[in-house]
Amino acid sequence: MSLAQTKSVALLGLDGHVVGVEVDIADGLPGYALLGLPDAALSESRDRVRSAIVNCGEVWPNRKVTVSLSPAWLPKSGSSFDLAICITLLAAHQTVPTEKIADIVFLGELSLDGRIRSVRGVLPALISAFKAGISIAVVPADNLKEAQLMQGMEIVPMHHLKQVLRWLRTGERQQEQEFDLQWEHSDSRLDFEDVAGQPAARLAAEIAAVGGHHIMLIGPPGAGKTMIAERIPTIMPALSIAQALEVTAVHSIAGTLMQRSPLSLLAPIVSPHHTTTRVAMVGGGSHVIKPGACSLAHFGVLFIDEAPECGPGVLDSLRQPLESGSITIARSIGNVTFPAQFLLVLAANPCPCGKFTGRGRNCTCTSQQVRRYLGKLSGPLMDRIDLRVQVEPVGRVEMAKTQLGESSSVIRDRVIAARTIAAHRFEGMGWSLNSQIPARALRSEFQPERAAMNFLHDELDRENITARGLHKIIRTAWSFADLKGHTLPSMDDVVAAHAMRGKVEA
Amino acid sequence: MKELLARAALFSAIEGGHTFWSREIYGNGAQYVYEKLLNNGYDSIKYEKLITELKTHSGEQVLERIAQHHVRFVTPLDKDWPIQVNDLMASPIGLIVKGSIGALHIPSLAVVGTRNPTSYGARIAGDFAAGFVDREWGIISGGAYGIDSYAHKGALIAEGVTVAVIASGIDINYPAGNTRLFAEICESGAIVTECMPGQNALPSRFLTRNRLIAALSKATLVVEAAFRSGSLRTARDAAELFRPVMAIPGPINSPTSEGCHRLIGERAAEIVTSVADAVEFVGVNQ
Repeated sequence: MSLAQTKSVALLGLDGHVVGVEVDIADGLPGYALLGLPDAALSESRDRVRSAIVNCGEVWPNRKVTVSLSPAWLPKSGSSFDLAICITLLAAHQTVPTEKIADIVFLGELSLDGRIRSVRGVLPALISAFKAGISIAVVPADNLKEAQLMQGMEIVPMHHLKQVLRWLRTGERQQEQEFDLQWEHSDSRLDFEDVAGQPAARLAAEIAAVGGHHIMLIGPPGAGKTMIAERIPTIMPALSIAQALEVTAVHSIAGTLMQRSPLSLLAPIVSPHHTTTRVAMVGGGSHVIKPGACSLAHFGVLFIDEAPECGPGVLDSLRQPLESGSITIARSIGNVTFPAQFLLVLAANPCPCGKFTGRGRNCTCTSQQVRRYLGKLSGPLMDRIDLRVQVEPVGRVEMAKTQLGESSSVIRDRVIAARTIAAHRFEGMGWSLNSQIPARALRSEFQPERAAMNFLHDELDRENITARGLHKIIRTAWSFADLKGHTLPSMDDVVAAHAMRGKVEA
Repeated sequence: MKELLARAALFSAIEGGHTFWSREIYGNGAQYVYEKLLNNGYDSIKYEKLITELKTHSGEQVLERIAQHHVRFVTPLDKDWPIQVNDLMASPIGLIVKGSIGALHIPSLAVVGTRNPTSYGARIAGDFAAGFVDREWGIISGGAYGIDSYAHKGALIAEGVTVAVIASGIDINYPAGNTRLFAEICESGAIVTECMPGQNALPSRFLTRNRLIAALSKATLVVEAAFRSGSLRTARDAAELFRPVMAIPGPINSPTSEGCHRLIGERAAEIVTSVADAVEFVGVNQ
C-alpha cells in the first residue's frame, strides 16, 4: 500500500486544529503536489523534506507524490509540518511502519541535513492535540521545556530525523534528560531597592500591584520613571500555574520564549517602543495572526515609555482590551481572540523638551506646546488611568544615601497580603481584584465609610469628579484600605485615592 | 448724539490701551478730538493711518456694525458704564458687552493664571471662584484655557455671575474649545471686549485686555502662574490701580507656581491660603 497518514496541528491564534497529513505515492511521472492551502513557508517544505530524506540515507520515491493536509479548507502556514510530511512520506514509501504513526502528532521543522529545528506555538498545539484525544507527540528537542508543561501526554523530544526513524522502526530511543518542572519564581536582576527616594511613585506602584490599577508616571528625563516601571513586575504576586500556562502559550505563538522562560511564574513585562504600530500593539498579520504587545503582557505589565510620542491611534487601540481583558482580531482567514489582561503603565515627560519641572526656567516649550503634549493622550484612555504620579528628579539627600530603599520582596509580601484579603472578600463573586469591582457593587456592598462617601458626593456636586471618576476612586480606595488593613475604606483612603487620580474632570 | 458717534468712530480706529488718546478723549471729549483729528489739529503725518481710518468709517457705520451682533456698545456717556475702569491710565474709549451689563456692577474678583494648570491649581481656581460667588461676588477672568476656564466654571457651578474679558472681537470665540463655556457665561454674566467685531486675538491685545480684567474687578487673585506669565501683567496692572492683589502659594518645585512665588517674594501680592483669608483681606482693603 502506498498510502499513509499521520497528524500535526495548525494554529489559528491560540486555537489549534488537528490536521491530518496524508501522503499517496502513485505511479506516474515523478512529481510532488501539496494540497490544503499551504502558505509560502509550507510550500517550501518540499525541498527541505527532500534534502533531509536524501541526506539521512533514505530513498526519495521517484514517483508521483501527493501530500494532503486536511481539513483542506483551513489555511495552513509555517514550517512545523515538515516532520509530519517527511514521516508520512516515508511510511507511504513502505520504509516506516504505517500503523504506528497514525495517532502521533509530529511537530518540527527539518533542516537539510535532517536535524529537527524548534518551532513556534508548541504548547498551544499540544493543548489542542490533547483536547482532540491524542496522547503522544513528537516535538523538537529544543521545545522540550515548553512541551513538558502539557502533562498527561507522552512527549517524545527528538533532535534528528534519524532518531525518529530508528524509534519508529525499532522502538529504541535515547532517553532525553527531562527537565524538572521547576517553576522559576523571581528575576534577581531587578529590585525596587535600586530606586532612590520617590516615595509617591513607590506607593503608586504598590497600589497598582495590589488592585491592578493602571498608572501613569510623569516626570523629567532621568528621574527614574523607566526604572520604576520595569520593577513593577517584581512586586506583583507570582502567577498561578494556570496563569503561567496561558502566558507561556501566548509567548509560544509569538515565538518569544527565548526571552522568557516557559517555566517562569514572574509576571511578564512588555515595553514596546513608542514608534510601534497598532498591529504590533494589539496583534494581527494576514497569514499568521500573531499576538501583539498587549497580549504578551497578559497577567503582567504593559509599559509604554514616552507615551505622548506614540503614533495616532496606537494607544487608543488599547481601549477595548483595557475594558474586556481580551482582544479579538478579525482577518480574512478568521477571527482570533487573544487574552490581554494587563496592567498599563504609561510614562511621559511633562513637555516636549522635558524640562518643565522644578523652577521650569530651562524649559523652551511654549505654553501651547506644554498643554498639547499631554493632551495627545485621549480623554477616554486617560479616564482609565487611576493613578497619576509626578516623578520628581532625585534630590541631593536621596542621592547621597548609602542605605538602599525597600526591596521588592518586602513590598511583594505586603501586596500578596493585601491581595489575599481582597480575594477573600470577593470569594464567589467572579472577580478578584479591586479594579474589577463592578459599578453596581460599588454603590451597594462596597461603599466606603459614610463620611468618605459624603466627601465624594460633594466633589461630584462641585463637578470636580465625574460619576465614572467616583467609581474609580472607590476602587483605588479599596486597594489603599487592603494595604493598610482597614476593613472599610476610611476618609484617608478615599482622599489618598482621589489625590492619586490627580485629575479635575469638570 | 454727536459725541457718541465720534466716540464710536474713535473706538473703532484706535487700538485699546493707548494712554495718549485715552487722556485726550477723557480730557476734551470725543467730539473735540474727532474734529481736531480730521482738521489735522494733531500731527497729520504721524497719525495719517488713523485719520484715513476715521474718514473711511463714520460713527454711524461703526455702530451699525456692532449692532449686527446683537451686543451693547457702552461708553462713559451711558448710565451703566462700569466707572471702575476710569481709574486706568488708558481707560477704554468704549466697551462691547454681550450678556447682562449688570454683571459689571457687582463687586468682583479677578481670578487669573496659567493655561496649563496642575490639578492643584485647577481645583483651587474652582474652589475660590465658588467661594466668592457664595459671598455674592462676581468672578472675572479671561476666558482662556486652564485657570481662567476653571474659575468661570467654578462660578457657574455655584450659580454665580461671571464675566469673561476677551482679547478678540465679540463674534470670535477664542479659544474655540471654550465656545460652549462662553455661551453659558452669557446666560447669567457677560463677555466684554474693547475690540471691534472681527478682530483677531493678537498677542498685544492680551496685554491690553489684562488691564481691563484688573480694572473691572475689586481685587485680583493669581492662582498658578509660570515665571513668565501674562497673569503677572494683570497682577501688576491691579497693583498700579491700588487694588488688592493676592497669590496662591504652591510647592517650590512646581514650575506653575513660580510666578506666584515671585509676586509674593516681591511683596507685590498678599499670600492667601483659604477663601476666608482672601475675603478678609479684600474686605479690609475695600
